[in-house]
Amino acid sequence: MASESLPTLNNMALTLKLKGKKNKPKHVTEHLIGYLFIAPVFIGIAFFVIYPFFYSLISTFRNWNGLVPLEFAPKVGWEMYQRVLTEPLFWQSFLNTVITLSGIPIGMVLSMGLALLLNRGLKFTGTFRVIFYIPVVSSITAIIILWRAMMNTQGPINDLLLLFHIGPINFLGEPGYARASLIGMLIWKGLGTSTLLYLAGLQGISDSYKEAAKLDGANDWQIFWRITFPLLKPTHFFLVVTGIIGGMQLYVEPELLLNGGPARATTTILIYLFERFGANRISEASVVAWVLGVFVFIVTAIQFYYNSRRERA
Amino acid sequence: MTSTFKEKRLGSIKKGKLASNIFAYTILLLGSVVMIAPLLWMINAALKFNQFSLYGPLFHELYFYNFIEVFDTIPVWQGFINSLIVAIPSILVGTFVSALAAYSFAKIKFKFRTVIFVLMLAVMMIPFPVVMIPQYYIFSELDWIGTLLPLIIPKLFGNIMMIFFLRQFLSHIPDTLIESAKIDGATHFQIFWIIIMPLLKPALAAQMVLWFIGIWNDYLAPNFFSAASPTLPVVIGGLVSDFPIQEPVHLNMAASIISMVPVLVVFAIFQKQIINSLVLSGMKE
Repeated sequence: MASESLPTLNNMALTLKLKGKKNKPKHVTEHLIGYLFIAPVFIGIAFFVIYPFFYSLISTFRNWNGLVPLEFAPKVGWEMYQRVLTEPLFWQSFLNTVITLSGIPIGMVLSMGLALLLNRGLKFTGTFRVIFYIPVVSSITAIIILWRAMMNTQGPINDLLLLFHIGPINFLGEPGYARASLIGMLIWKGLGTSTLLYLAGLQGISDSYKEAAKLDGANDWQIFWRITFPLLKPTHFFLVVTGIIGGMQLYVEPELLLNGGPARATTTILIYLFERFGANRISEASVVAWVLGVFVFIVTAIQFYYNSRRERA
Repeated sequence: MTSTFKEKRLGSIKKGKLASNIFAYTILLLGSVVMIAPLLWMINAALKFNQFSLYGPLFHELYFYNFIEVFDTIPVWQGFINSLIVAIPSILVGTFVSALAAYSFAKIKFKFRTVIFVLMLAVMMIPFPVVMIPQYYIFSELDWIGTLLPLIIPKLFGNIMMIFFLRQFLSHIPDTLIESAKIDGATHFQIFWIIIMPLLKPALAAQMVLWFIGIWNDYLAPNFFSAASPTLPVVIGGLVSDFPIQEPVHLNMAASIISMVPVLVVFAIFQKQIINSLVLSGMKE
């Protein structure tokens, strides 16, 4: 430590000496090098995000089929927005997407329970953490192929239900069961993430709160509801917000597991967007994307506001 | 009297604790079974002689030849190579570019650096569906649709999330270290390459691994832009057909397992770093 700070002191003296001499040119190159180092990232964002962003915005005010250059497409004002927002199929897919969000609270309750158990300092906690996290890192397409086979009418899940004299259930063939299966798979896949985040939240709560409450005669149930649960608020909030942002953009799971069916019950906003795209109704697809984008933006803004308030408090 | 009472009380507390620990282990074990059983069933299914014995007794047939046959019937190998072609250059170049930018944001005092950084984070809020359609037409204009270029080229320009975390990490490195190197005549690039990169190693490893998992498992963009040069998830996704009865499910399972192996191996090696950075990402929001 000492040997490091000594030369620094010498250097500081040196800097002072040099400062008078060539302060200005050094200053300019400093700025230039700063810009140079971020230039690649800046170019990438400009070309692959900002340019498409405005391109997309402009395309929502034209009736564009994607077959001619955008500037040849007729300007139609807000007509495309009107068309999408009065289309029952759009609202059905919006509703379908919102229905799948019901998996968020279920997953939160399950993962909070698991995290509380993992936070007891038991042996093998690390092993359990890894096991719960394996589905999270597993390839989603592989998982979908697996669940499709498992939820077959002859599959292992129905075999298991048969032990309780239930079934066989056509999980992927009926709208209600299909939605439930989709939500079930999403919960299973995401449980590891939320459990680990709750565990981290629990580990951040000082034991002194609980000990003080215990001295005051509080039982475990009261300690959980009055102390632990409220102190986990940032984690609850984070999981709800990221759950909504991700859930509104749900695509691969309903598309490959159920092909948006049966009877369009799992046709999400993004599946609907790709349908419009496939039908060469590019402007309508872009409008769908923007409605989704605005929704996500509002949720993110709420999170931002909440976080800045929390930091100030 | 009092001492026996005390002992009894202590004993019952211990018993209570033991009972609740047994309860905890039971639930955790049950949870583990629910998480692992589907994957075990997958291995069982991949070892079946054909799809007709799929739902027979578990681990009754152990037909390992499926893992060779699958390379002839499903383009697993092509998908594997394509996934590697996407992942390796993207991560190597993209990480270097991101680290350079993170160093610049953290340690070089250029004008408007905070404003630019905040704007960059704001860009991250734009959901992919908003930009993917114009991207499709830009890539189409460049004749990139159906090739792997739309998956590689944009990633070469870095990853905002990674820049954010690396900048965070660099803010803990004292400025005096850089100042003294500058006094010794080192350029910023030399400081970055010789001093900063070695210090960043643990953070870089975690970020690279997370990015690799994300790229390896991604389906949406590869399917949209590059379906004609399928990456592994696109190959696996393509196995879903409208006629489930005819699907060679045992081979599909073998292909799926092959597609999962690289990520599971990486996870096994780096699980501590992966779990830690996940926890960090939750806390930093």
